[in-house]
Amino acid sequence: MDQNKRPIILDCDPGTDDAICLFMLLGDDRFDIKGITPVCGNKPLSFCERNALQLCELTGREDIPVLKGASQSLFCGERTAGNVHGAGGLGSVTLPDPHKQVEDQYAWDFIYQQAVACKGELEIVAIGPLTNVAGALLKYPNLKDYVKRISIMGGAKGLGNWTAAAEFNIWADPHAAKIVFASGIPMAMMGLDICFKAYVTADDLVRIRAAGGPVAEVAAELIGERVGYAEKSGRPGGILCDAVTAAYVMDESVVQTVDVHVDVETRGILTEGKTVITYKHTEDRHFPPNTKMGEDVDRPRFIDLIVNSLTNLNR
Amino acid sequence: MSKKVLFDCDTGGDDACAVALAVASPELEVLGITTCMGNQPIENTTQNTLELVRYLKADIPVARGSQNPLVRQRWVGNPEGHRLPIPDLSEEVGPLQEKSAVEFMVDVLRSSEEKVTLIPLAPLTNIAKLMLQHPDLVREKVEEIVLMGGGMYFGNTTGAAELNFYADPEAAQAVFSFGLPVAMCGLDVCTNAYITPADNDSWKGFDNPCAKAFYSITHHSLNGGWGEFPGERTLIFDTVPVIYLLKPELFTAVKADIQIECASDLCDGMSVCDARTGLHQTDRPHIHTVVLDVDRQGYVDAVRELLKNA
Repeated sequence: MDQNKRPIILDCDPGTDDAICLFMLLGDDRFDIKGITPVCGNKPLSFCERNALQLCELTGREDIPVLKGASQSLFCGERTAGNVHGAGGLGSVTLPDPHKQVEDQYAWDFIYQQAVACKGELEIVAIGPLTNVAGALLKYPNLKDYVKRISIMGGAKGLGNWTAAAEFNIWADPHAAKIVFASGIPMAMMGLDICFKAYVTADDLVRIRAAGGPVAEVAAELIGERVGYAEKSGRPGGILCDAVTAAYVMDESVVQTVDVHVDVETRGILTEGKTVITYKHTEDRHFPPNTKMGEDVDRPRFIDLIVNSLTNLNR
Repeated sequence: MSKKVLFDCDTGGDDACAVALAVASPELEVLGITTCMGNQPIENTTQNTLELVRYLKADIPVARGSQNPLVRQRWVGNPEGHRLPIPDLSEEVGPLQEKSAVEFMVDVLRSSEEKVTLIPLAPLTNIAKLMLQHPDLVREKVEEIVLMGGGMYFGNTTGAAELNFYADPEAAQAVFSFGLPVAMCGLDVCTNAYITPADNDSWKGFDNPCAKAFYSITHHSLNGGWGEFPGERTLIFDTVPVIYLLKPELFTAVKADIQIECASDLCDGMSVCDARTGLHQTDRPHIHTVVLDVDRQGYVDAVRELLKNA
């Protein structure tokens, strides 16, 4: 292990914005990416596995192991986002068939093994449903003592997207999210509210493409679809939810956070999968904070982080 | 021509301030006040309402409403009632209507030639009963519903729910699913419509009972009676719907479909405001209005203007 690099596991469901998050982390040489643990989410698991392998090969990082993740939520079966991320999960981008296969090890065993090996320094960046991470916590209760932080894309303070109250990643496995937030591991949550502030404009897209090389080309195509959709719906720019979590992990000062208590509703008819945010206390109960929740983002610097990483990947 | 309104209150200091503003306004004619349980038991909210009406020298009939929620066998308020913090308030009061709140509202609606605006400031138990028992009359005679309750982005009783809806989630759901548009003045806007000591001092000298009641209650609140920021600011939630009714141009709002969660561990009583557009928009129409923010200075000026000319 390179002692000077921050060890990270990326738990993801690629996913177009997952790809951008991966590029950002790979383009920052302060990180040692121990492995990628795909999970059923934006697409069924087999799609997410394949996309993860392809993205590693695209970036020349076939050395990063891709593990065997959960093919369905803990208790709610397979919940996916349909065709929101296109038929294959990477929008209109088609990549060559991967050479490598998924490792013959489960995500939850790998997470624990790496956490112990990293002696408390491991960070988990989780940008899909939290099934793999919760699975690790259920199997290895003392995992909580070995993980430095879990930074997630998920949840919302206000309006949801998949339902009026719930954001997709949390809705797709509410019980897993509840377990992870209650784990005692320091949490950082980049929810929909901040993700909508981290939009990417057509001008930003020009800079992203200009980073050059095959990775930036794929990134520009993936982001371009989002920008195009935003233009059609009258929004200021495309939304890349998972990229915000990468930005936070790369440079915390890009994101303003507030300490809150987060719990997850698992049963409500209208609110299943809602992240219930409590600011310190309600009228009659104290809620100790368990999460740093992203409130605002320095958008120009967020774009800089994307461009810098892509530029590094073209070296 | 003045707008005819019916209040439903769990009086309560902020309910009292709302009624005082309505009485002060030449644009509103208060046809009656029905009472409901809320923060306090029904005996206290009813007695407080009667004392208030007498103090304001307002000839407004008061009818007693529900102590129990529509469905649930539980009440979440504080069993210790308290009187309104107004000096020289008399415990001697005028008569209470013999009819129940719902029967009284039916009479008022039937006998009114014009449509009536409902201003519910309490759990929605009485209003839900009225709608469930007399749907045709409500559709024919209710102009609009402007209420205090809920919150799009946060709760107060729980992380997700505001007290009025949490106290009777099924009643709130009955009201929002009835089909009439509701303007929801929830915690989002009410938190921004705070009153400072300087604001309150600016109407201290007005020599009329509406201004005196408003000043005394707000003074009490500012000095630690309730609220999170004693000495700095206080939140008088229930006055927001009254000012919204009179000066909607001061407010920002979004259209939404609103439903109330009634079957959840953490979110019971949450007002689920669905304002999604585009990709994830549902086919449920956005008939309700979520009032989100206010031009606070304009709001305070409006309050002062009303109290000055009461």
